[in-house]
Amino acid sequence: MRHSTELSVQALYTPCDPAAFTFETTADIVERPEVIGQVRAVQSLQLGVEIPGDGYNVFALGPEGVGKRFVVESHLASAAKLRPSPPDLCYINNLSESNKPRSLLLPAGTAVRLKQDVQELIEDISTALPGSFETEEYQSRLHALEEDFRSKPAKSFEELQERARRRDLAMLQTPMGIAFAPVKGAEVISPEEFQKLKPAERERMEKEISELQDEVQKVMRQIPRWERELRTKVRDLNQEVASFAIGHVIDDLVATYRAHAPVVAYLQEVRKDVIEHAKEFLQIHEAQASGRAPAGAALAETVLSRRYTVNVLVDNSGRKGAPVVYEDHPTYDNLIGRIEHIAQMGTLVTDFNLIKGGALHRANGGYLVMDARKVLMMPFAWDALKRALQSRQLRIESLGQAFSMVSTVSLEPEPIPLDVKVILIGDAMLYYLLCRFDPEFSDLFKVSADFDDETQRSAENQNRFAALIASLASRYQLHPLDRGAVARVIEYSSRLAGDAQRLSLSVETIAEILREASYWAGKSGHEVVGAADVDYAIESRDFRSDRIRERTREAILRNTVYIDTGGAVVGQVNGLSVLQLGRFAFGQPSRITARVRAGKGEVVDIEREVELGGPLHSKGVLILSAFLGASYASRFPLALSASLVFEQSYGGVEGDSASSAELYALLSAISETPIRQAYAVTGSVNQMGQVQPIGGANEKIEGFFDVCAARGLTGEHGVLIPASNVKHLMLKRPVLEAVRDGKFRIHAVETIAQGIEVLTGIPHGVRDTAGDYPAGTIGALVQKRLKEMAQKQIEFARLAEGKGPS
Amino acid sequence: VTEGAVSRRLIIAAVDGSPHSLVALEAAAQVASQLNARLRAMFVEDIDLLRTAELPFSRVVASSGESRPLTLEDLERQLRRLEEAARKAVEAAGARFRLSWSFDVVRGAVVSEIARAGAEADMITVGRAGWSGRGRARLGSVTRALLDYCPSPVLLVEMQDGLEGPVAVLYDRGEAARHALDLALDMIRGRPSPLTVLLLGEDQAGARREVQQHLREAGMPENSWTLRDETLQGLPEALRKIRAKVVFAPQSAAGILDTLRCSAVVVR
Repeated sequence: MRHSTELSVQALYTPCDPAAFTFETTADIVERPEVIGQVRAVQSLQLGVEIPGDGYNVFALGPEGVGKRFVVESHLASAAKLRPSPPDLCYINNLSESNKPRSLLLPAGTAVRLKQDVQELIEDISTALPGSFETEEYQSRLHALEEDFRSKPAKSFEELQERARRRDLAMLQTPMGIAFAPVKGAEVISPEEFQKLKPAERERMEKEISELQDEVQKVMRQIPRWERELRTKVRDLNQEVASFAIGHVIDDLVATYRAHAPVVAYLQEVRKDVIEHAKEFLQIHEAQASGRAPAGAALAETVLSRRYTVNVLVDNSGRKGAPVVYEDHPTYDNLIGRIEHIAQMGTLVTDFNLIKGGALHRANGGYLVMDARKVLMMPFAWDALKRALQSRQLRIESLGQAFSMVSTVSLEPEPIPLDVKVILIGDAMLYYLLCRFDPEFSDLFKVSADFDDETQRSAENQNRFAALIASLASRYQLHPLDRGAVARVIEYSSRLAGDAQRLSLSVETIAEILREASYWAGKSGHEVVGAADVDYAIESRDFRSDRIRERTREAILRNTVYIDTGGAVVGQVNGLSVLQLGRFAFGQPSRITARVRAGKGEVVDIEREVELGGPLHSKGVLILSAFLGASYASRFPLALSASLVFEQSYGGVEGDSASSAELYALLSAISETPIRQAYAVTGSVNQMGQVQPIGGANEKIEGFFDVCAARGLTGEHGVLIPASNVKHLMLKRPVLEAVRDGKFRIHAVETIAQGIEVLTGIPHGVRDTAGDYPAGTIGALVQKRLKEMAQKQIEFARLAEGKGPS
Repeated sequence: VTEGAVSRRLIIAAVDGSPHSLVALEAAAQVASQLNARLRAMFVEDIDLLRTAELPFSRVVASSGESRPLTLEDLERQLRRLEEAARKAVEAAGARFRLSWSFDVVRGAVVSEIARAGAEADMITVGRAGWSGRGRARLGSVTRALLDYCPSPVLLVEMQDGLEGPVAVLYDRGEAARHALDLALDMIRGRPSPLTVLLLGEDQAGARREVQQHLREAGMPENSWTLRDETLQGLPEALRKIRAKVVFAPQSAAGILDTLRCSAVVVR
């Protein structure tokens, strides 16, 4: 006999009709969208990418595997083409303040050319300079200057010496300085002779000596000034020679870059600097040539090159449109750039050549895509990103510097203006956490692109989905799929969504199935992937993840875990639960039992007593008490004490999807009516006795079916599911076949009354106006038993008060 | 103090403890080693200085321009210090070049003491220092006097350079020039220093023949020397061009020494 709640096979699976498609294989599909069903996300993305202004950065949120990054990147790629190429970025030496290197923004492609040109300039200078200082002309001019300098004091001293001689005095050099003494003949006179001189003579000599000493003092004081003069003259000469030697090479380059004022300014500074330091460079050059300095390095390579070269951080030559950068490893340094150091004589030194750009430099003028979780996990990266976006400036600072942990002299490269759109990709949880806890986040990421994980399964969407399959097949260079295969993939997508009326947008999982189906098709020698290949791919995928399911089913079949699939037992029912292992979910039956006795009117949830039950489960059990009291004991106290347990459950139990099963077990125990063990039950229940939908209906049904099928289907077996879950059913073929053949039944029940009738074969009955159930119904049995218990409790209460039975 | 076997030749180094004289001492030791000669270092305590210090009103002007009284006590203390420095330098140079050496302190007139001692020496070395104290090339009065009175060759040592390098000889066919050429050959024997002979005077062709013959007889390889006609005026430029480290000159050509910036040996 077919029960009214029993579902026909058509209700269990909503197939996709291959005949509805207009193509033969996916190779025929011309229009191949990269994305479907993400209208909301794509619109947000479009807005975020196109709208100018601060803070319009994008957070693309959504579940894993829906192709967020692919959508973002393909969208950005087309948006980037419409924007101009950003300028090249280089750093150059700040010749007046070398710890503050200057930035130089040049039209795309100019930086590399400038670097080469400057390198050539350096080579030209390093050959021209030494040559000009070796010329005869320079040497003789230098010699003349030195000679002139030397002659000045010598001439003065000679004059003084001569003056002294004329007055019979000698000018003498002592270890302490210059002294004068009176002479007689060629010798200094002795003190005795001096004493013999007339006082007037002595006085004259002393006076003259004193005068000469004053003169010597004057000359001595002049010497430092003459030396200074010499230095100035030699410097002027050096500068004149250097200027002549390098002037024309720099002039040529200035002419080439006359359109770029900053370059011209830099070249003029280089000119000035080379001229000022020419002699120092040459000294280093000579030291190297004579082997006193580290050998093997030419002047051009060492001194000049490090000083004047152009450090190109971003080269946009050959780029069409704006850059789209995906930073895979967004550490602080990789994001902001860094300043490297080299070891020199045991210390770490740095200069502008060692400035390295980061992802923000490369993406400046375009788009930077990053994984939000990675940015947040890298120490200091998130703060640095926000700081850069807020200030719209890119400042390269080492971490040590930024946090004042290192106080050695380092570089402070000139910050550059930042104009970049950042697109973060992450899950919804991260997005909402950031909104909640980071006050700056919402200002900086004004646009959220919310990706959906499923879409309506309309005819139109099925066609779009087929086109998406075509696009994935061509992206991964797979065999084309025929219509049947496409239909199977669409059905699989529905099953993934756990809903016959929706399609899963987990592009990643779909792509995996396509690749595996194409692989299996190739193995079987099929040019075109057929439905059988897709089926095989799905089955083998399940099989590969199947070990644990196999084990639990074995435990049941070997009667280690007790599950009855035949006969009838009081107070015992098969519940159904779902286990999620990674991406694989499966259902399995569990035995739920209920025992009752007279008591204080409580239903004890044993799972909760031992803290194995979660709050949702407890809620379900409390609802049962309420239902019992209201439905059967509205006119007398509920003097029942019942206990409920998931037998052989050693892990936790959570969710209320077993609450209907628990209620059936309870009703059976109270009414002492046996329940058919060939059935399993799922569904939650409310206080009114309505059965409410649950998740994982497909897996639960299949879980029980597998056990029954293994023991042999008798036509008695079946599952009770909530009627509101019917739209979710996308069951596997063996289940469908068993149902079609009448070997397995699936009942969609709306109320507990419907369910208990299926399970016990006895109608529940409807209360009459007096509140009583018709005799012979479950309702009547339950009511009668509860009334007895209440009666007994009253008697006990009287006994306790010492009045005895009435 | 004398060590080792007594050598035939004698080099006298005049030292006064100044940096110039210590450089000259080093050169003297080098020459002594080359010529297998004894080294005698002489420190002359200048009698004129001592007398000056005894005069009641004597003052000195230091190179800073500061003027202060000069006392005998101060001067003697300074002389002791310089003597000690010179002695140590001689001792070190002697040990380094494995020389037989001696160190004497003499009190008297500097020029006459050195000239007297020089009469029995094969060469006298002095540092080049002029009045400027800081400038270099000009000759000091002591040096000038030595060149006038000393009978033996005088080596004037330039402060900054060693003696290794190109050698030039000024040749004017005079006796002193021949002597200078011989001395130069002694000095470069066994060393790779290139030799340039600059021919001076009226008969340069004759000079050329003489020198060629002399060098061949002395067994000098043909490619180790160069002959060049030169005038007195062109000498400084020519010497700079060949980058000469030591110039051997007859006394007649000593006038050019003022303008030179290298060591020189003046031969009478």
